[in-house]
Amino acid sequence: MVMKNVLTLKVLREIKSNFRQYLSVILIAGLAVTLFTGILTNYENFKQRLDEIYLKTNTCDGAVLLKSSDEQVESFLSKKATYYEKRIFISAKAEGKSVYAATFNSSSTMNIPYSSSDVIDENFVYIDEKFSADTGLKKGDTLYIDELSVAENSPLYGVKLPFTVGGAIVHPESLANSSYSQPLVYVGEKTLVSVLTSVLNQKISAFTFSERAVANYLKENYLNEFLFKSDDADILTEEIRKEFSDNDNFVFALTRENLPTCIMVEADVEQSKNLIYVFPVIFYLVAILIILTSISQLINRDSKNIGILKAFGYSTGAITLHYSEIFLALSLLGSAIGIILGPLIIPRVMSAKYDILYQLPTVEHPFFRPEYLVSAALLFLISMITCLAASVGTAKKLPVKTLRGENSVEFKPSPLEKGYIFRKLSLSVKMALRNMRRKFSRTVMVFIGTLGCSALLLCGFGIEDTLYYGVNYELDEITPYGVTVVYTENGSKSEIINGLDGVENSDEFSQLTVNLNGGNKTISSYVYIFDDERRIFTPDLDKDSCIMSSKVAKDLGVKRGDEINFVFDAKTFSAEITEITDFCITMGIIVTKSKFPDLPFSPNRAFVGVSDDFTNSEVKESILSLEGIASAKTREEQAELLDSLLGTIKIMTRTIKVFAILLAIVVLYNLALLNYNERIRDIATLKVLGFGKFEIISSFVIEIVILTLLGSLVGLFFGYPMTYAVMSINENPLICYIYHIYPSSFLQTVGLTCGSSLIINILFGFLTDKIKPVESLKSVE
Amino acid sequence: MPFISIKCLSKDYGFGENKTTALNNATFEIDKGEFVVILGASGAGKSTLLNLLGGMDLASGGSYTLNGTEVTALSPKELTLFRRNSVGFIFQFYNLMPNLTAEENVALSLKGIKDFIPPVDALKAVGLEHRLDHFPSSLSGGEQQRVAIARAIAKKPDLLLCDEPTGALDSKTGKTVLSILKDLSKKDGKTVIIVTHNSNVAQLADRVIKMSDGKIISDETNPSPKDVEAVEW
Repeated sequence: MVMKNVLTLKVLREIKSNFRQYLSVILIAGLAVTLFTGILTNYENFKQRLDEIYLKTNTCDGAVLLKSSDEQVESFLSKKATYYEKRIFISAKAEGKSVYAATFNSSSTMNIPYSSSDVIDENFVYIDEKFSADTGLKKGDTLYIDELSVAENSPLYGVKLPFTVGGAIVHPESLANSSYSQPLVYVGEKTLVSVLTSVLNQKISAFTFSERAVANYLKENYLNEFLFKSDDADILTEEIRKEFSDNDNFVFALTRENLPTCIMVEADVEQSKNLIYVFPVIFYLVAILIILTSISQLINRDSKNIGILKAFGYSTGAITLHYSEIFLALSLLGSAIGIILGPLIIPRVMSAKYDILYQLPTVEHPFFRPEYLVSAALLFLISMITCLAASVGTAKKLPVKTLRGENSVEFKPSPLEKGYIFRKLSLSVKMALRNMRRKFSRTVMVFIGTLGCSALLLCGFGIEDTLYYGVNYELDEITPYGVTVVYTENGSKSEIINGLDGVENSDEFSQLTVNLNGGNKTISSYVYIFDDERRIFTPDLDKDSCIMSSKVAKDLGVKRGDEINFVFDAKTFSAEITEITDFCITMGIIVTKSKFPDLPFSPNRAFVGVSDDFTNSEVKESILSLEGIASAKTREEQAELLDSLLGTIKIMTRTIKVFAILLAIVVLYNLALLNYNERIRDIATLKVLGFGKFEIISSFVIEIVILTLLGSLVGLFFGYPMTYAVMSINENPLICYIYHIYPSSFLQTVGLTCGSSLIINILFGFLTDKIKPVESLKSVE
Repeated sequence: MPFISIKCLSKDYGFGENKTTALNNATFEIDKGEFVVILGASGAGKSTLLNLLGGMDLASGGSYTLNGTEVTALSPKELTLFRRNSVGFIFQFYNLMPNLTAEENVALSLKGIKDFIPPVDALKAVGLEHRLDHFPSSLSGGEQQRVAIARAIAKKPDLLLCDEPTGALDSKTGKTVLSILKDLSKKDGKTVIIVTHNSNVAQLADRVIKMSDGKIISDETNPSPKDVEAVEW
């Protein structure tokens, strides 16, 4: 028989006879590759679905928003952009909701609807499917658009425009199903001109407007958004900003990914991409640990055989390769399982959630991607390096040294053993402590393994705690309302609301959507204007205060004392930031009406406090029965809404927890098995000496409990940084994370890690029944 | 009444066609204080008999009584107590706990025992009073075996079972170990059973039970047991 075949047979028999030991290697390899391929496939599928929308709707690469038509910008784009189109893009209200109204005509080719059962006709308006479902508006109904965000001196100021709905559409600028996202109203230019002409003729009776005159007027004054295509949208956007940032007419220039209409879905795509590098990395590291543990155990156990092979003239390389082959075969098997399971399981779970969050088309995905092989190759490489590192030292030794075996190494007492405390310890504890010292590398591995599990588990708890802490802090501490109300029209309703049964008090405020400038950046955000006296909104505000939410400050790159400005009603308002505060939901700046006397204080929202005798739902119903109320939500409904908004992150949290526990089980199983195998002779001796089952179990559970307790406690220190790292790459544009981990999460983490370890080791303890004392003790050689 | 009474004791492994009889109807008696050697080649059934005598395995048939206790009728839990209280074991490869010192190894066997020889005294008895704090890895093979003997005798067992106690030792050290065992039998009245394939050891015994193919082929009293020093190795 050829020498190589004999060694291969030895490999196969080794795997067969110690399958339980190697199961953990297959499992961890499978888990690592499952995560990598699954998360990667999820990202690719999600991106593919979004790209499908972008492709079919010919979505722009970027957009420039202006207050009115601008020839300079148009001329610039005609030279620099591949292609561009003009349209009116305006914030307004429809059915009491803030909406984006964007126009189209028969020659529009960019940002067209993805699907529509009807032919798109510019004599109608089209609304997105979610808005249609929420409002009940369907083809043929009348949709009123009002509160157009235009200057007070504009003839369009304060007009209410009636349009006929042409149908429901899926539009690239309105993919999010969340109630936070503003719906899109896709307005045909013809119908806009026709409706405007009619409304203007009624409003300004001194003149008679023709449709042609109105059309020209619109083109000159309101063709204010340019959509463009470019080979490098980032560079072109930057160039536009540099060129026109001093232009009073300029509002913003943004790439597609940063447009307010796309930012949510793009952020989720980015998050799903970032996930590829977070968790698989952790699992690949654990795979190294498991393989290292297992091969070290094998090398220790087989050291005499290594000596025999050396004595027979096998080279160090041949011996190293022989032992590496086992783990390379196992990691390949695990990788194969991962390549099949990952793309099957993870994208299905995640896409179910994406379907709730977004209107995305279903597309055919490839069954196999070349990156899967990269993940397997990576694991193969990791296994090979780990195996070489672990085995080459022993394989290099002289045969005489390895033939002597591990027990020939003299074990000397530690100086600490002379201490009074050590001498008073029970024999079981002494054995455990000495075993930890004697098997130092294994001790370190158990410690690191449990440390990693504990850190990962705490990270899972930490993410959930952070999410809930922020939401609860905002709803309970910052704005402890019972019901939050949105008005259909601006103007105080506090007298009517406060007169309702069950209403204890209320705070009205204006929420304005503006483009905030500061730190050389411009972002779309809010200005909240409160009355000078407040009853529900708790932060300290005086007439000079300008509180900015920390997330907006971070996005703008500004700090306390910096100046910010924004334009509203064609007037520019500036303020110095007096405070930066952590708000979870509130985004933008908060001022009192005295801060900007030129800004009209005309409340469009209110926080309502509810007395103890009434439920929030009862008061909400009373408020909804009033005129001029667009919507009302109880605190509980708002919390539920935020809960659904955090859906993707919550899936991730659960995934982390499940995988952390799986990881803990795999790591601890592997280490418990090593411990058990190493101590078969000790267990047999204890059995012969008349020790009962539970006495034997306790003798080696002590060691693992000490190590897992230490590992899990130290792991707690890494849980917070890991939470921060995971959350920071998964930022949500609508929510600011206020990092917080509750004490109960620390306790649960330690409990779960130590509990898992204890259970696994106790289960192994029951295996001692299978140990036949005399056979085990005789078979030493 | 004999100290040990074995009647038609047998042990089978496997079922049906795969059934193997490792011990076949063994019957003998041993008196208290006897020094007995069970002799046989590899596969003769010595270890199986030792397992049953030590309460480490359950018999397939027959009965075994030690000092009036029918061991074959004991439950697994009672067998654990039987091993703890009544039997001292000495193995070929010592089987000391590597993480415990010599003194601690002896102390380990005394858990739950009320009447025992203090570990230091037990180690003195085997001439190892100067090695109390040494770990097994720093003791020679003979010293390790003497610690094993000290561990076995410290709990004052009724029966000492020795499985090839000199198998891993050189002749000089082996003689020292056998001398201790013989003294335990003759001076302290312990019943000592040695299982071995080495016929020279049989020359020391009061009785020699020979085994082959799971059967007892002879049970003879040695009319003139030799002194340890007189035995040629």
